[in-house]
Amino acid sequence: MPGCMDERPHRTGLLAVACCAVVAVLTIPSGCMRELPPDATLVIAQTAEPRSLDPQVTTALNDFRICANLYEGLVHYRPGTLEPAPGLARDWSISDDGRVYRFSLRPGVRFHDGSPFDAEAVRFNFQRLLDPDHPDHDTGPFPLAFFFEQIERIEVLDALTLRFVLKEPFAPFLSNLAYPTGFMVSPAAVRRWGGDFGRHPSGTGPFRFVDWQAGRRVQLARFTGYHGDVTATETLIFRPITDPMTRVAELRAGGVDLAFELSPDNIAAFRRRAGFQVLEATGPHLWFLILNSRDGPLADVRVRRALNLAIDKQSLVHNVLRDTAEVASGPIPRGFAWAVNPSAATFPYDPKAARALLTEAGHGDGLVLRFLVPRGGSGMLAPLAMATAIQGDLARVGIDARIASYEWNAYLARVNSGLDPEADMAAMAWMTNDPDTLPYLALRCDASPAHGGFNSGYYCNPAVDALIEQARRATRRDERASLYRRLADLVHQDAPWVIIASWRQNLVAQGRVQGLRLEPSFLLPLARVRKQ
Amino acid sequence: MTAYLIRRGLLLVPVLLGVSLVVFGVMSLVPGDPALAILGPYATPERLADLRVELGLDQSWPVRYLHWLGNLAHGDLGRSVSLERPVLDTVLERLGPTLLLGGSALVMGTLLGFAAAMLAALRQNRTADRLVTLLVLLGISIPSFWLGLLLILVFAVWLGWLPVSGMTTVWLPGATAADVLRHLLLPMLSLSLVAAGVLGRIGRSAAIDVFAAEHIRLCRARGISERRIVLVHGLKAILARMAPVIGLQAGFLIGGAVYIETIFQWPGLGRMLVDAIAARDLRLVQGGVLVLATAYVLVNLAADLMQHGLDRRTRAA
Repeated sequence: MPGCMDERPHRTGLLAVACCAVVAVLTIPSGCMRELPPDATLVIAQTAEPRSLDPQVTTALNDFRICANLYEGLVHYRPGTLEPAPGLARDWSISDDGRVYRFSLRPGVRFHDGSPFDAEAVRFNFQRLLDPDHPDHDTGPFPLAFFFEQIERIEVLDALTLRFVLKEPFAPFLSNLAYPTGFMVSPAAVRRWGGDFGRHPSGTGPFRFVDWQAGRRVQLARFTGYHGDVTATETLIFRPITDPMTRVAELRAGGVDLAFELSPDNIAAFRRRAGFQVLEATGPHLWFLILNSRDGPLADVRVRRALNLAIDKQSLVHNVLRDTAEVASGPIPRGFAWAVNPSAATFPYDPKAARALLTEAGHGDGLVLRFLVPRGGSGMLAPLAMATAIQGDLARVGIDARIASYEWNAYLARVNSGLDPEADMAAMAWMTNDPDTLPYLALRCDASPAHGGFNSGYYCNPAVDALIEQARRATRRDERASLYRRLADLVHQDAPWVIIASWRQNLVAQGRVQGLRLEPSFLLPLARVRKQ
Repeated sequence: MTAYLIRRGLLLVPVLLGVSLVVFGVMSLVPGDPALAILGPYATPERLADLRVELGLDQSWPVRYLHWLGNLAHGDLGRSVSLERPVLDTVLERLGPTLLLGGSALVMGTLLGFAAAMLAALRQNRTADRLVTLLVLLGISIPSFWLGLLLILVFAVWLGWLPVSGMTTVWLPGATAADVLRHLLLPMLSLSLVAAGVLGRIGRSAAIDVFAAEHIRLCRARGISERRIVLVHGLKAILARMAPVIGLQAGFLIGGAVYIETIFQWPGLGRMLVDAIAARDLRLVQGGVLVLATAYVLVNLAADLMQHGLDRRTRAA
């Protein structure tokens, strides 16, 4: 029988103590004021935990924004444009045949770890990337190394001069150097940290690495040995905040100074709210439908044009994307202003003309098209909502578009291997750093998936191929520009894609953050940004 | 007792083997390719194939599973492909915050649940009981992620008393206990109120049973004060009956931590798992699940032991 009398002295106070503790814990903060970051510190809400801060390893925009403050390339994008301008290289010259680039480097530049930046360091960077036998090649993988695979050899002429000899003329070379894959990392730091360099980064940029607390922050501090203008901001803190609602709450509570990629509704709300600034920039992004030019009804150019006329892009951008994108005009995004003809022909929204073309092609009501769509994915914006709106537009001209949706990785595997005869169209999005990239990889006859390219719709026009090749070899920019304009006209006539929209990156910042500007490259150089 | 502990400890092995096998199998069935996740949309089929070989993805999943088990035997959980670092480092780094959040939520939920249960049972069918029952019902029915958002809005955005998210103030050099506590409060509350609801509801009926039980009546007959009866004899008997339920709640808290950690950006295992699944980072998912499953089994073992210690009848068995 359970005994009542042989219990030890009672613990009556236990519950009371516990209750008091709870009450105490609850009341501690009620006296505290809202805590805000100090003036010399910028807190940036990112969308994800960084993968690596090795600019040649990572491919994520999220990581590039940090890298753009740690590192510099031989050239960089002139602010507000996608045009290469002198960076770590003071100037350069290109041989007449377009195969030899000679750079002279800025003197007196040092990496954050104190080692000097010179021609040997440049050579080390590209050898690590490209040469499988290089002792530090195993610090990869380097997914974007192919940006530089045209390099045949690098000749160091003296400490501050070097020459790149290319296998063949390759005009996008300078743009690629400005991209994060071309950022210069410290050879000494790579040798020291090996595969862990991405967590102990060292470059020549205005900020140096301080610490990386997983899931919490990446902290950078002003680099006192920086060769350029020094900023008033002492510390940059990048916080991964994956949940968009939490980013909104942090902005409103003042815990972060700027945040990326908020939903269209939240952007609209911040526009109305005092004390915040909303910035937007259209970048080199393209959202389009790949049409199957080889098999099925879309092999007929009239049907492809009809699709282009039947889709109301303006309404898509305004109503579905809430103006977080703008209507795109051609295969080269308008972010590359120099290569795009602003008055080039585009397809208007004209369902009547679309119907007429369909009838002419022998399709009355009830043409069935199989439409592949991912459920999400890099640069895909709101793919299902967009696909549904497109489906509605097509229904209005008598086309029955049947959507099949896939998880992003499975989708890429399916679409990148080429549309099978059952698939008529597929949504796709690209972000590039040179006008050449997308046409070269996705519109040439030889870029079919069987050849390792991304021309999943099997579009083939030898005249387009010739223009792409010519533009690659042209060393003068105006010459390239006119070639790309002609290319856009040809693509417009053949309508291999339905080109829909270019994403506008958005950023919301506290009103007192000064000097912010969103670059069309989507990088985020913060050297000139300060809080008032 | 020792034999019991050893038996339970040995049972841990087949449980964890089963869990890891299921996770491995499911992750292999889920569409998506880690190689593609690493290389991004620029990936050509050729480079994908190379990387798959490098990652061992060209082998069938049972082969890969055995390989993973072999490494595990040496304490090697492999390397995370999405974070470019060893899985063990990452998991250990994330375990502390999760234990802190889950543990404090369990303690808080238990305290609140017990307080509610005792209050309701002692004031059975009176206003206090009805009020508590209503609150308990609310606690059970409100989804914790919604409650989390609500708490953020009120206490962080409107009132500004507490930080919105994170575990420490990012611009301060080091973490102080008070700072962590301030960050802990809202996620812990959102997580614990559900547990408190469940415990309060089950605890109320347990308490009513206990107070009507023979040994309590005997205590009353011996003239022991009501206070002592409730707080010593009653509480102990209720605790013994509730121990397994508390253990089960620990499991729900671990599950709930996955989205509470996402909303509050708590740097724990739950958030790590969400990211790892999205990145198809199989080894990281495996490592994280293994640790969480171990924690779950251990907490339930502790709950059973607690019941053992509190209730002599199970001790005899």
